Amino acid sequence: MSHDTNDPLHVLEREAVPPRGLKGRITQSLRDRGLLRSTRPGWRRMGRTVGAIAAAILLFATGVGIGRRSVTPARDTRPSYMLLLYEGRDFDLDRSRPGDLAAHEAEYDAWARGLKARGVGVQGRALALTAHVLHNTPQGVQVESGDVGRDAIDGFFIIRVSDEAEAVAIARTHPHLRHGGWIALRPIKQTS
Amino acid sequence: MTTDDDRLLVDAVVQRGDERAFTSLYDRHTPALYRLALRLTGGSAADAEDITHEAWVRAVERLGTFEWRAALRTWLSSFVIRCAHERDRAAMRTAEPVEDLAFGTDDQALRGSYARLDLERAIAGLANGFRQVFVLHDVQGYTHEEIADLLGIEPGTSKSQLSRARRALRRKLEPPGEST
Repeated sequence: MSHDTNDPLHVLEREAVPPRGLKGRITQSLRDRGLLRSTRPGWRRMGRTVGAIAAAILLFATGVGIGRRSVTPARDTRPSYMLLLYEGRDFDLDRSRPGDLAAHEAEYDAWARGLKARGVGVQGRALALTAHVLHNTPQGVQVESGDVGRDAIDGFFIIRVSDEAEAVAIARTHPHLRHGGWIALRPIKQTS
Repeated sequence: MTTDDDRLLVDAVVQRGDERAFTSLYDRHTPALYRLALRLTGGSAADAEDITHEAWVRAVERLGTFEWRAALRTWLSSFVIRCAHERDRAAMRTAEPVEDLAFGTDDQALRGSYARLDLERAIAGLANGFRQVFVLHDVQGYTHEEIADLLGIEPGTSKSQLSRARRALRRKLEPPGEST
């Protein structure tokens, strides 16, 4: 293994330090497995124990939980896009056939897992066929309940990618299109 | 730091479970291991911490079998790489509920400039396979043969993924309007 320190990427190694408390947690895990034995003198261990108890009481009194990890995951800063899935008239799903819907959903899940494996952030859900549609009328808010038609949204996915071009490229591969459905790709707007 | 120092410390941990010796090993090697984990996970501090934790536990469990045919750091890094690889594979099997997406947080994060991507962000944005090979080869200095062995792929695959990763990075880092 070699390493070129002139490589500009080498500078990256100087950044980021292990979080505080990691050493203690690893050491404790190794102790729990019998792989380490404490080598501190007995009086120091006792002193630490007394100190820990005092600290626990103090933290309890101030309402702070002991043992809570304060790890803040790095935020995924890539833009998010929503894929809204519509059936349309040409969609080939026959809901009267047992297993047809499950087969579609399995195919969509596989598509999402494939993206995840490539590092694309992806989440999604199918929507139920029923809806309560609410309208404001002079008589007040009216609610109509029933099954949705074929022009309704079937489900959605949210993807996190580098840019809009990548989002479009990914949306083009969605199996929903092969089944005759159509997709609206919408950037998720940032708040000011 | 010398290999002899590492040998003495490893012996103390293996033979006596010496905690102070382990602490010294930890202090020497963990910063590099953690940074490796951080890059392999695309910058997720929580994942990197878990991976570093798991890698150390596995490594100490097998420390008595280490034969010193490579540097200790290299051997320890292999645990980090395998743990990260396993985590990726596990993530593929786990459906992520949409409720986990915090829209407010996302929007806050998206407030920054889209046009300006720094190197860390560009690396984090690579697909998992590309990122792992790129980090191991171009940042950590592993050879394609070593990467192939660690990730269970062919050396040729490592080379092609590196080439594609570099192309993708170049595209991400090009100033707007200069892409061809």
